[in-house]
Formats: sequence, structure tokens, C-alpha cells
Amino acid sequence: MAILKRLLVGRPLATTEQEHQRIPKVIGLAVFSSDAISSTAYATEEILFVTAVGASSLMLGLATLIPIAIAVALLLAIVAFSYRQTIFAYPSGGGSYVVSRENLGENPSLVAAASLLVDYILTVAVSISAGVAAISSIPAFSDVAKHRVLVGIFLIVLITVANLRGIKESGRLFAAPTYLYIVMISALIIYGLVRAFILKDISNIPFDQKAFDGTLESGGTLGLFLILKGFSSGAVALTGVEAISNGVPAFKKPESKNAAATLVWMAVILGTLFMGISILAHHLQPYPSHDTTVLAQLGIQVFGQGAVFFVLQIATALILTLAANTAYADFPRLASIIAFDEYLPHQMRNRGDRLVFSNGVLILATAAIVLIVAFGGATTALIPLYAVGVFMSFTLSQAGMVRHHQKQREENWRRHAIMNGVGSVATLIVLVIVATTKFTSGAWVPLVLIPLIVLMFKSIRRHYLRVDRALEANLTAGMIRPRRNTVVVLVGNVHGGAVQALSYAKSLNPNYLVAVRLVEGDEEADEVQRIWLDAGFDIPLETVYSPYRELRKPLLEFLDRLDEQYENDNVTVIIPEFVVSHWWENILHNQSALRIKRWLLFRRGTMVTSVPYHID
Amino acid sequence: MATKNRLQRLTESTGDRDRSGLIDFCDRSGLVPISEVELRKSVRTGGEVGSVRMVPLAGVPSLEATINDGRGTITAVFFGRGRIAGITPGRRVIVEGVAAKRGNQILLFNPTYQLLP
Repeated sequence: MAILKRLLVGRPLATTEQEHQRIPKVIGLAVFSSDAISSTAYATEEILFVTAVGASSLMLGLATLIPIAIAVALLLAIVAFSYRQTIFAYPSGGGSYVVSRENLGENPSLVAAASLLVDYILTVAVSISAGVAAISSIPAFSDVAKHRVLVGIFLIVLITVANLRGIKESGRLFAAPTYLYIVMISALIIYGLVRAFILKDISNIPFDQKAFDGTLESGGTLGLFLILKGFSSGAVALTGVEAISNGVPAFKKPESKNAAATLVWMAVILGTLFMGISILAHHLQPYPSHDTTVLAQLGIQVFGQGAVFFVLQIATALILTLAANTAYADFPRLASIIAFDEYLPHQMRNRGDRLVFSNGVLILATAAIVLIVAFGGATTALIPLYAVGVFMSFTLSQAGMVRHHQKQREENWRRHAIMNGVGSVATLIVLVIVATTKFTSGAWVPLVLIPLIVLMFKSIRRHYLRVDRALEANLTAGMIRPRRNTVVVLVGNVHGGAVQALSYAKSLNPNYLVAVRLVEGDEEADEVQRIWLDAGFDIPLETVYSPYRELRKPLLEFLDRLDEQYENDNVTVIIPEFVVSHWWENILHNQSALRIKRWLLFRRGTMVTSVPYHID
Repeated sequence: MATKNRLQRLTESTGDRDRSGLIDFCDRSGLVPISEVELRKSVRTGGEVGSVRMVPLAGVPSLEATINDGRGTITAVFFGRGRIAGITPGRRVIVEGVAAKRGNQILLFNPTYQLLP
């Protein structure tokens, strides 16, 4: 086990080996924006899944693409400008949790924290599902689709192991896939549009009646509800926008300025790619399908099924995997901040062998795998769950920024407050749209989960506060009072193990020492008394009647009687315990010792000591 | 009424059953309930031996038996005796002696005793 862990995770790192590497903008863009930019891989398709499938008409669905893309781009601009201000206001990292905690108070900050945690889990599940879809869309790998869930779990395990090893999120290695993806998508859009509008040598994607449940031409109806629902699907493109504001300290100096510039670049790239894919899709008429992604259909139509298409799909899968990876940096870090505020178990703030918050990593991985299994690894099924958390945290963080400006009253604070206010209101509107249009198709899950998590946070905090109060002590010398010490040695058979326990008990020099043996009746009592006297032990032996051969009640009653006899005494119960050379031999021993320890743990003023007896 | 009693008997804990059995026995044998034992007076009481403490110290060995009658506990202390055959956990005994107090314990020093089957 230890060897396996060593091989997978690597040697433990000392606390002093922690690195604080600063990254330039070029790397920062790739590292922090993979989550946001990767959503262009599935956002267009998800819009079509709602509008085209909902209206049973591909043409009607395609017609919504560009308007929705414009709306999303507008929203993106608003959110990006809002977050630029957060970056300047919180140069040490201003996640939604931090901003709302400092400006809005406990409850909003907990809602933000719960939303973010839920969303990070979904980031992993959605990105991995979409990544698997990108691979299975390559005709040569179409078999992968049958094992979607397994491949997804495999990828998650892979990322988890990599993160348990502790990969530097600032690694240059991670810059490559993001840029490769940006280049490939740009090429797809530009070459596609050139072929469509200038060369005019490209035909529409052949419509597959079997794969799409609906007609090609207009015929169905498309109401406002469906359009808004489609917009909700497109809005998932905004997930991950907040990543840069979380990671400001990772940038080279001047941190805020570099981070802000990177954020603007990210928004521009994200908006352009999203818009470009939408225009191209509108022209080439791909249909939403579970077998071949919309992006892959565009790729095949524009590039043909050659090497370029292959690289496009691989780049897509890579950036999506990388997007999942960003959640592995964010989730454990946020969980540790929350744990420092005592709303999560203290274990979440412990760094593991490799200086990563291992417990957070493992919880994230488990939750994401559960989601992938529960939803069959289908991106479309997961999307309605997504975005609720993101927009909840956007809204709270921007509202927090408004309060921040009101309190700070820095230069131009009114203008800044208005900007964040617009961001907050816009994201709130989107939140309401997402929650209402997608409530039945899955948005209810986070809406139920987030309050539950908040309740959990609060009860954890209550517990820690109670413990703190209970442990509160007025530290004076008088507090350490001498107490009488009564030592009870539990004896089963009088053998070497018992002798060892008795010698140890004597060495403690207790005020009162007694050996206790539970007996079922006369014969047993006679026998043990005789052995005791023959051996000439000078320790009192108390034989206690246990008419029903049980251990617990007679023992506890005996201890109660002992407690009654002396005020102000500690009772130490000594249990001889076998130490065997193989773990499985333990099954044959120590069962009652274990049980006794458990019972006595809950008894006040009783200490339990186990005296090992090594059997080789 | 009778059914109710029988039902109660079915569900009562072994502890309660044993206790009422002991109380019945002590009342039948005309023993003073341990809870009503007065100090520094001769008393005839008894019950079940719950535990026996054997103190085999060189010179003055002693034996202490804790006797319980369902209403209270009394400790019979026998000086100079390492072991007494028959004074073992689970046995019913009748003891007669003068009651004394040590801490919260009521003691009978060297009582006369009668073992019951």
C-alpha cells in the first residue's frame, strides 16, 4: 500500500519546499482561462439541444444561435468589467466567498461558497464529459462513446493522481493545450467562413434524420421560454471567468494590472470564439447529436476527416481536461479557506504529503465521479445543473463589490459601484432565467443542494464553536490539581499478558490498585481466586458477578461503585492487549478489549490504558 | 390486570426482574432491607453477592464481599481470611453484624454469615 502510494504520488515534500512561482500574462491567460474558453467546445451545441430539439426544427434552432451569442457576449463584457474592479480591489485574491464575506456578511458568503463548491464539481463533470465526447466524435474512436462513463472516470482518476502529486498550476506545460485550442478553433472559424463566403466551395452538413428528432425546415414553434432556456445553456460559457480574480497573487508584478489585462484578453478571446462558432454553425447547419459533437461536425465539414480534424479534436479534449484541472486547483483552495473559517472540517485545511490539499482533491474527484455515473457521462444532462452556482456567486460577489465601493468611497467610487451594480443585476437576471427555465430539467439539484451545504457549514461551525467554548480554560497553576488515582486492571485468564499489565499498574504507584475479573459463578470464582493465592500476588482481586456472561453492565456498575467510594479520583482502567504479528490474527484477539475501550471512552473521569503483550 | 402483569414481565429488563426477585427473597426471609440499615446497631440482612474483593496482603489478608438486595449495597469485610469457600459472586447470603460506615460505604465487620443454596 505504502509503495503504491509512493509510486503514484511521489515522495513527501517538506513544508519549506513550497514554491511561490510568479507567472507572466501569456502563461496566466492559458492557465486561468482554460475553464472559460473550453466552454466554447460545448456551449453552441447545448443551445441547439434546447432550441432545435425543443422546437423540433433545426432551422428555428439555428436561427437563435447568433442572437444568443450576442447576448452572451454582452453579458460576458459586463461580467468581465465587473471583475476587473474586483481584481484591483482585492489584489490578494478576491473570490466570491472572500468578497461577500467581507462585504455582505455570513449568510451570503456561505451561499457563495456553497455555489462555488457545487460548480467546481460540475466543472469537472461537464468538462470531462465534453472531453470524452470530443474524442468519441473522431470516427476512428467512435467506440469510446459506448464506454463514456468508464473513460470519463479514467480521466478523472488520472487528473486526481496528477493533482495529488501536486502539479504546478503555473506549469508551462499547461499553456500549450489552451493555445493549441485557440489556434485550432480560430483556424476552423476563419477557414470555414472563407470557404463559405469567399470560396463558396463548402456545402451544408448533411442532415441526418435518424440522429435528430425533428425536421430540418421550420415547422415547429419556438417560444420565448425556449429561447431563454437556450440562452441559459449558452450562459455556461461564463463559467470560469472568475478564475483570474481568484488567482491575482500568482501574476508577476504589477499583479493587479497584469491580471486585469489577462481578464480582458480572455473575455475577448472567449467572446470572439463563441461568436465565430455560432456564425459558422448557423451557416453550416450542424445538428445536435450524442454521437458527433457540433464542433466535430463543423471540423469534418471544414477540414475533412484528415490530420487537421484529428488535431482539432485532440486539442478540444486536452483543453477540456485542463479545464477540469483548474477546478482541482480551485476547489481544494476554496475548501481550505472555508475550513480556516471553521465552516468545513479542519481536515480540509491540511496539506498532504505533496503540499496539496489532498482531502479536497479526493472529495472533488469522488463527487465528480458520482455525477458522471449518475448522468451517464452525458454533457447535455449535466448542463442544466451547471451555471446556477456560477451566477449565484457572480451576483453575490458583484453585490459585495457595490458595498465595498460604498464603504471605501475611493475616487470615482460611484462609477465603480454602478459598474458592479450593473454586473450584479445582470447576473441576477440570468440566475433567475437559468433557475426558472431549467428548474425541471436539473437546475433544482443545485438549488436544493446549496441550502443544504450552507446548513452543513453552519452546523460544522456551531460544533467547532461549542468545542472551543468547552476547551476554554483559565490557565493558572491551581488548575492542575492533584487527584487520587485508582487503577483497575481487567484480568481475563491469569497469564503472561495479565502479569505484564499488573506490573505496569504497580509501577504507576496508584492510591488504590485492584484487579478485576468477571465471573459467571462459583466455580470460575473459586478457580481464579485459587490461582491468585497460589501465585502469591499481593494485589487485591475483585471477582464480579456477571450472571448473563456479559461484560459491559457488570464492568460499568463496578466502576460506578468505585467512583462512589472516593471523591476526586481518576479511574484508570488497564487492559492487557495482544499484539500479533499478522493483521488477520487480530480477528482472533482483542475483540473485547476493543469493545471495552469504546464503552469507556464515553465515561467521564475514566482513562483507558492498553498494555501490549507481544506475541511473536 | 393479570395479563398486564404478565406482559410487563415479558418486557422488563433482566436487571429489573433480578431486582424484584431479590426484594421478594429478602422480604420472605425477614431480612432488614439494606437501605434501612442503621449504623452502630446489630442488623440481620442479606442479598446476593455481587463481587468479592480478595486482598492478599502479607500479614492481614482480608476479604470484602459486596452484597446487594435490590434496594441497596452493603460490604461484608472478613479480616484474617484470604478466601472463604462459598462467598463467591452470584451467591445469596444472610449476614448479621454491626453496621459501620467508611466513606459512602456501609460495612459489616466480620459478620456471621449463612450461605443459601
